[in-house]
Amino acid sequence: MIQVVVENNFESWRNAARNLLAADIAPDDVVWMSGNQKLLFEPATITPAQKRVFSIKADFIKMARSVACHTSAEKWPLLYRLLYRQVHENRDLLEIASDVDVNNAQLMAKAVSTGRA
Amino acid sequence: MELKRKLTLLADAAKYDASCASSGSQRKRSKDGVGNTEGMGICHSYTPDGRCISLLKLLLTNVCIWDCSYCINRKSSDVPRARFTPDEVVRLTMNFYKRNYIEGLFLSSGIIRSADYTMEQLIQVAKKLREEEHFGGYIHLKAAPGASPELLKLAGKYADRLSANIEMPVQKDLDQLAPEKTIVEIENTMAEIKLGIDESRSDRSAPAFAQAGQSTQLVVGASDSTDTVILNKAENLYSNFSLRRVYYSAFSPAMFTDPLLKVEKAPLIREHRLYEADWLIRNYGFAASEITDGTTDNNLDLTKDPKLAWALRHREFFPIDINTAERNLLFRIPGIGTRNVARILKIRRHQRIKLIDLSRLRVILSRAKWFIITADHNPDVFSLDRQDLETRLKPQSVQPSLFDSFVPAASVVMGEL
Repeated sequence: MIQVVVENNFESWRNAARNLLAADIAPDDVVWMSGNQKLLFEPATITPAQKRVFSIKADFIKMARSVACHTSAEKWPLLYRLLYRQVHENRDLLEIASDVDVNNAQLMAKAVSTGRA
Repeated sequence: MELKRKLTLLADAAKYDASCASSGSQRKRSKDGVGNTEGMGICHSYTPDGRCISLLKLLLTNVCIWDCSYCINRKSSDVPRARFTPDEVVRLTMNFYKRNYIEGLFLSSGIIRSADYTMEQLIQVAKKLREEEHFGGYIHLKAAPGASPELLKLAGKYADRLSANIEMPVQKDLDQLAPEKTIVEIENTMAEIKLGIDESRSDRSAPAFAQAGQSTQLVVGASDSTDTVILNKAENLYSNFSLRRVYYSAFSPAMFTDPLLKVEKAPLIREHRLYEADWLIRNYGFAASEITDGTTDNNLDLTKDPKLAWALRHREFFPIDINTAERNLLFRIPGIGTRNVARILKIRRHQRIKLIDLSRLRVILSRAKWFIITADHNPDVFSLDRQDLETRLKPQSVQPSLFDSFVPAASVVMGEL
């Protein structure tokens, strides 16, 4: 189990998620902590063996930026799960609107959107 | 007359026009201009009597030389009359716009002197707004039926949307209720506008012409014309003049004394069903004849939506397999809209669709489940051929209307037990 500390913003999650993905860590093995939680142990620092490049659909990044504005604590694990599944399972995962994770993320993005495209 | 009093009279007189959408146009603010037009409308606000405002809806004047008996501003009506000067309308529009009350102007008028004169007055307002005030907001102008092509050209240059109201689906109704209007003349005006739109679309360097297209309005329930007649006319208008929208306005008999008119108010639910049918024609590949064939006395069933009514009459088309059916068949399933069809088609590329997937897509399963086959077991589809399916589909409870006045039971009035 790996504890990861993120600030409450998209860039912070993105940096953490990049490292986790490069180190090939499954979503279930990550505990996402917010910056102001007291930790019993020092958080692990993940340093991937080598730099790896992943290509992710731009739609996902756009949606993730919105989801990052949601207040739910579930958003960081949810986003990482989506990211991981897109890399390992299906590049076009977002097309499956009835998928539980996709559905939840879309609802979160919608809840914080201004209604304008 | 004081400006405020005029505004009261002429804004009230315009409320019978149903078209209040401002979507479909795009206009960027000029450098020193005011306002712009977006593809999406703004949030609307509502008046105490339930009207929605997003546009400043005005009549330039409610004086009219015509005598259409369904119209409150007809020549023989005794409503108080008023008239704005074009400058007054321009000032009102700019002031309201800058205060964020409105996102645009909807300007109509009674016919004064002649169609051309009226049109000139309307154009004058739009021209002043665009050229002197550099107004970039939405402008919807009424096209007076029979106005000359040159004037319509000019109107299209300044307005985002033009509309010529056809009011009645057949000439017979117009003869009876609006003797000065003819379908031919109104359709000529529509054809003229379509010509302008097509010209500006085909040539990218041409100046914009009524970017948001043209629309029209039909009064429902003032004459005997059935929904079949109305929908056929609407379909015909869509295909001949590529209208963006046909608006249906339920006739309300208050203040009308013409013996030719119906005395009862057309139910608003009829208007609603017509809009649903209209959507089916425009977006779901239904033909008007399909929607109206087999209906009782040629009117739509007021108790259920036209797609469901069609599905119940044509059960031979069902069940439809969600996982294999083509797009045009998916469009026919009650409870599934165009956006969900698009989603379903995407999902199908990756996995087979189950009932739970449909419920996550917010498909209205209470209507859809009887007509579909999914990847998992759907027990309700076995009821498809049952005679009592129709009663099963009836809603258990009825939503009371906010606007129906309370009618006490007769026995209470009579003092009976």
